[in-house]
Amino acid sequence: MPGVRAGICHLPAVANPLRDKTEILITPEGGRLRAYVASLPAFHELLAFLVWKDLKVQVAQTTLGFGWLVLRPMLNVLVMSLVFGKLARLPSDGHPYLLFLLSAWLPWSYFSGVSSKATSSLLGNSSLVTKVYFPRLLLPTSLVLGGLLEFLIVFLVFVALSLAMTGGLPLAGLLWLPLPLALLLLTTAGASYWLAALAAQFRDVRNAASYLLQLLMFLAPVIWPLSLLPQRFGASAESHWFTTLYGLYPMVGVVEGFRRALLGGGEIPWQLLGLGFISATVLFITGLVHFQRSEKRLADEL
Amino acid sequence: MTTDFALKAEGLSKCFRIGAVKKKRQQTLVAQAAEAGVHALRRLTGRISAEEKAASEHWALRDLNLEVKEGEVVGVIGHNGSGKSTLLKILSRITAPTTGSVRVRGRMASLLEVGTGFHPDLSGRENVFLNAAILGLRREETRRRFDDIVDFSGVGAFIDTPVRNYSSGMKVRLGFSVAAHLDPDVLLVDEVLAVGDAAFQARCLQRIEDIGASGRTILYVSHDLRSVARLSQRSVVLDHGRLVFDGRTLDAIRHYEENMSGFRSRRTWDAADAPGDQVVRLRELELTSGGAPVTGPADVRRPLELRIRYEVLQAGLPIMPSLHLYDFGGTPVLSGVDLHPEWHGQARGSGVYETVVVIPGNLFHEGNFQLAVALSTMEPFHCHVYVHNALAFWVYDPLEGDSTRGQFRGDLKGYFRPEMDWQTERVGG
Repeated sequence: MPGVRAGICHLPAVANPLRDKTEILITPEGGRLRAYVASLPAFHELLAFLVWKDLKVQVAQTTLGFGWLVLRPMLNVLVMSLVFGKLARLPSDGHPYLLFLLSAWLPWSYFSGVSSKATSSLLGNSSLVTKVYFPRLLLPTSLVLGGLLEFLIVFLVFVALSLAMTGGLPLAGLLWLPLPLALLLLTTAGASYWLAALAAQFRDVRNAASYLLQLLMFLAPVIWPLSLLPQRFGASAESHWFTTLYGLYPMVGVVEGFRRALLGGGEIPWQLLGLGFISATVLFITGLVHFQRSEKRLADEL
Repeated sequence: MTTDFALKAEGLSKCFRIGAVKKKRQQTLVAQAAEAGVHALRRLTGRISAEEKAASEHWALRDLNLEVKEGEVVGVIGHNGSGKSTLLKILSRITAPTTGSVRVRGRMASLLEVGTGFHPDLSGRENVFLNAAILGLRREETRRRFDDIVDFSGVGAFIDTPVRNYSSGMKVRLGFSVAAHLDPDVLLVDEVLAVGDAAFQARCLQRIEDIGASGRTILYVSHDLRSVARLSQRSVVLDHGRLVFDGRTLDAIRHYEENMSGFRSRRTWDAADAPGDQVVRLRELELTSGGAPVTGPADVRRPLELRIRYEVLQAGLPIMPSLHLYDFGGTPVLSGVDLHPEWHGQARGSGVYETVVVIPGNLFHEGNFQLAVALSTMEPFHCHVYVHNALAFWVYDPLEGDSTRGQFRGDLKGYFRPEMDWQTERVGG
């Protein structure tokens, strides 16, 4: 076919050669972690889009839509409050059990909801992951951010219930609430990164995760008060080995922090929060590293 | 330091472990851990043989070096499994190479297989913005291009319907449209022409051509050698994961045809492996044009001769040769049967026969054809030999103005472009 449209190949110069051209390096190792993290801010619009997408998909598929975001946690809390508070008569340190439970359920439902969704964040988006490149970390990260909407709704419900049942809110507690909130985000992100990557590699992680999360809930003082334990967890507790070990489970600090801040009257659990931040940071960083390392294999595995 | 390359691959290899990935899907964590343990033990004790290791590995790409200059349009040619798609997947960062590295300058968009990265629950509109965001475009930039994208795709009123309800054709059209309008510095295109209707394919080609002409860098993968020849001046040929040719597209196509493709002008069979049965066996096929072998390109204007040599082993049966043409997608194009009275219906003695059939010039349209040959007996009908994809050739038009195209150089459809008798007279006014 000599001569067929051969003339068209004399290309003119690039339209805008001054355009900023970043160079991408593709290697077996998938690049350095620092470069990976540094590339993330450029994708902030995509991240926002993914957050919005998750919410939309959640809301769009049901008749009640947005209503489920309020209804689901409320139904959970009501049932649990009936069973554990009224029937099992678990102690609640003198607070109404409903509020006592809700103050801990608020961070817990966020943690467990985001973590379990994270196990399907890569599998569920395989149509994207196998076709186009973007930092896969955005997928679990979008869940961490998107979960905040439901968190906010539950928080507002708590505020309403608290005002209705006790006639007030502990304002001093709200001042340091950002502390356990930051720990919550760090822990959830770390757990999500681990679970997302593992679930793509091993299909059974998805099933195992729901049981693990249930177990973890009973391990943390969500439905029962910390005061049930023999050791005290105050601002300056003696460093008993059990206290230290238990405090390394970051959700203990989160849950107890939220409870004391929202119900008022307690001191800031510095020890629990401090230990929690140490282990949550380890969880977050190892999760990040593991995720980035497994990212390059993802398309082959999905 | 030269800075004018848009894409540079050095020592690129990709190894898939056969079975490993597939198994992993079904396996449980425990079973896999157990297997990994056994494997590690065997490796420690040296009980894993080199053959076993080689058998479980598949090198989809091997030590590939490729530099593409800014503004260059490069075609990638190779048969199925030659590593074309793996190369594009590595370049588009969907999968990582096993060794080697690639440097890409600027924004890169890819169009791999059907539908790019669409999320089924989102509408067409939302997917356009999603894809744009993945490519790093700001909302404002996307909004400016949005109408063009929808217009080009022809998706029209369905733009707000979830993509899951789209036909595969609509998905491809929208996917192509997005990638083609996002103004990437480097565009990777894999087999877009395998799907979608002919009219859209023609528009796609035109669009890719325009993008190339505007100075963008394009890597174009296709089975359709005609489109490769139309789009790119330079092409590379891959074979079993290795880059075996890099040069002018027409030379690359020739190289591909002569060495690797099904484009063969001649095939012979020994008595031992000749296709057929105890009645008749096929021994040789040859396709020529004016006596010269047709290795691939066949001038649209010239007749082709197909020589069929076969050995009749059982005397007393009437043997009927026939030829069957298909396009490369397997669609039947034509059949021809030898009805010459000298032999048709006549019982033959045993021995070697040669039948020559002349396929007239100015019959086909440009395109790829594969040829099957059959040897049958009638009453009752029995097919003794049928060799599918026995030879293949492609018809080209040198555009010298004396074919049935006349001076027209644009896109034409169909399989045939025979000479026809046209007569016009003025009948009134």
